Amino acid sequence: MAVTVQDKKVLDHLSGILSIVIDKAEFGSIVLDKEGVVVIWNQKMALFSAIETDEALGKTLEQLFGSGLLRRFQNSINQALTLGMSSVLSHKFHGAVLPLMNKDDGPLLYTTYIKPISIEPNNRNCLIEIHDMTNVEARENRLRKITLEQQDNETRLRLLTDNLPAVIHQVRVSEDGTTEASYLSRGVEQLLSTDYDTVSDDPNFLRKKIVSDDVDLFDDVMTDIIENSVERDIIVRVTTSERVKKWVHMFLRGRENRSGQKVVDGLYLDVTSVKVVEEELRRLATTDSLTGISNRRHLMDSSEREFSMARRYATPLSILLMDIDHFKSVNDGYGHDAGDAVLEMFAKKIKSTIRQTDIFGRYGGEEFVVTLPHSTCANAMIIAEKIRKVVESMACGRDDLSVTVSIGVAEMASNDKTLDEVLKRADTAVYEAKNAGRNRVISN
Amino acid sequence: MKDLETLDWSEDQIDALTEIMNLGIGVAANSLSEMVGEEVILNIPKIRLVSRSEITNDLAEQNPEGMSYVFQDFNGSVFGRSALLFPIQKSFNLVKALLKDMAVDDEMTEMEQEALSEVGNVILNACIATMVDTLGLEIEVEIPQYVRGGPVGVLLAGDTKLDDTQTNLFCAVEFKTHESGIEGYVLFLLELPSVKNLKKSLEEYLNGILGV
Repeated sequence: MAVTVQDKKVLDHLSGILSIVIDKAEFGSIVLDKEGVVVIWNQKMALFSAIETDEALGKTLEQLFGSGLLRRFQNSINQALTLGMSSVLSHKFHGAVLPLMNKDDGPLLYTTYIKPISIEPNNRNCLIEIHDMTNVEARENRLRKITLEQQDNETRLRLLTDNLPAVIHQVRVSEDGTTEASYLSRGVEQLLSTDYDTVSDDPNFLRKKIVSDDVDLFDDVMTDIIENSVERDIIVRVTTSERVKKWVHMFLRGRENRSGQKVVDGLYLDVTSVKVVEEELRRLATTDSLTGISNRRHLMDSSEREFSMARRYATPLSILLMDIDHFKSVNDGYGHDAGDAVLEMFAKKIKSTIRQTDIFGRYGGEEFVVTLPHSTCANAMIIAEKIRKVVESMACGRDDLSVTVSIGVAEMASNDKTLDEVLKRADTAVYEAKNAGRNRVISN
Repeated sequence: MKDLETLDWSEDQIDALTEIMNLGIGVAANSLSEMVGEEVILNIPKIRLVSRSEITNDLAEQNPEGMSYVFQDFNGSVFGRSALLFPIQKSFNLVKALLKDMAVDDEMTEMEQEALSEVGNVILNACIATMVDTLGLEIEVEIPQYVRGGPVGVLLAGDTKLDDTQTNLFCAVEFKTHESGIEGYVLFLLELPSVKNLKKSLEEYLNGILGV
């Protein structure tokens, strides 16, 4: 200290303040003189050690705590007194340097600071400070425990997600639009038949696999969920590395994480098998199992749709109702297998006679319907006549068997409210054709 | 600015300084071994007398990710700052190795920082004490402080006691621990008057030995 205090009174006053400051300090303080004898022992020290100040003053640390003091502690005190060195003894390395207690009588966790203090030349003292670290230690243990638990949870989550028959994917989106993969589960290996490491760092790996027809849909959805922080799901087709196409149901959610960054969470399910079953079910639900053409319900649904269109746009529409002549006698005389073969052949022949846009289906039994959009009665008659001739010359699988067909033709009228009304007129025309000797075409 | 060469250190003086640091590092190795309950080997230090800009550039180049420091200031006939520097990742490894605590990650807790401060304290004190003892210097050393990371310049510019406009002496001691291969540097930063005082003390010491 460069300040010289000459006034004895001032000096006394200052040293009085100093001893109060040390006495009231929030850490334990001991001052040893150059012989190692205690000259200051503050209130905290009395509390930590259960040794009162009066009792401690004038004694050495060995006299107070016994002779087994830590060597580094003793060396540090000696170095402070003789060489002016400061030292720190951390709890991590030494535990308790002195047997001290906290206010709950538990062992005190503390850091020890040892410093030289020179009050005047050739009279160096040693200041020992005891800093209570109990709270710090407890807080750090808590933090570490939380960290460990988090790691545990992550491991558990990994295990769980890696074994799911689904892919979990998380991508962070920066403000400039660049993306960065932050999580990908192992399921991707199975979904895309790919190596995990080749895709784990690529946030856009899936987009690259989506078939070109579906990429626009995917891009639109991504833009929407990122901009509006919403959830959407889509089904897209992807090409796996084995040149196999798969259907993937993607559940995508855009959100902001706690630091305000945009994040996309994705869950991808392989729905190929579901799609295959779905397709099969639809086929089964719409086709006639014997002939492979539309069944009655599908025939009627499609025809109704065409009827509505024709009404709305005032375009012509005609219907052919066909009934195979004497079909009962075919069944009776040649057996049901022969009857079935006739129906199959009939359906096949007609299918190849009509336009692709015409609707053809089995109406029931040996009755069939062709709905002809954009066709007047006159057009329909021509087609009906063509069909009649085709059927007449049709080979039925055996030489002694041939069939003919009676066809009723009806055109939609401007006052028709339903398809049924047209069908009814076609039905009447069939009835007339039958009465007129069969194997003919009659319009109503 | 005065160049270091003009200070005209003799080979004997540098040898003596090296010997002192050697002794100090030896003492430090013993103390560390005692602390962690197994042998800690510190390699023989290499001493370089370098200028401030030289050491700043060198360290920044070799450790682009920054360094951790423990430093202790000292006052007296020689005053300045002593520092122990580690490449930042190596300081974590050192704490891990010494505490045998694999849970130490890249963010050291307060307690672990204090443990590292003590490691620095042991090494720096050993070097300074040997110097003080051998050369009969009259100084006082302050409590160690830990600084995490950052460019070396922070350490060098941190204290007003070190006047930037004067030549400083940087005595860099490189050491390696045997097993974990952790490298560190001990640095002494001294201003010109202190450099002169140190040099004078070395001269007197050498004269004493040689009986001049």
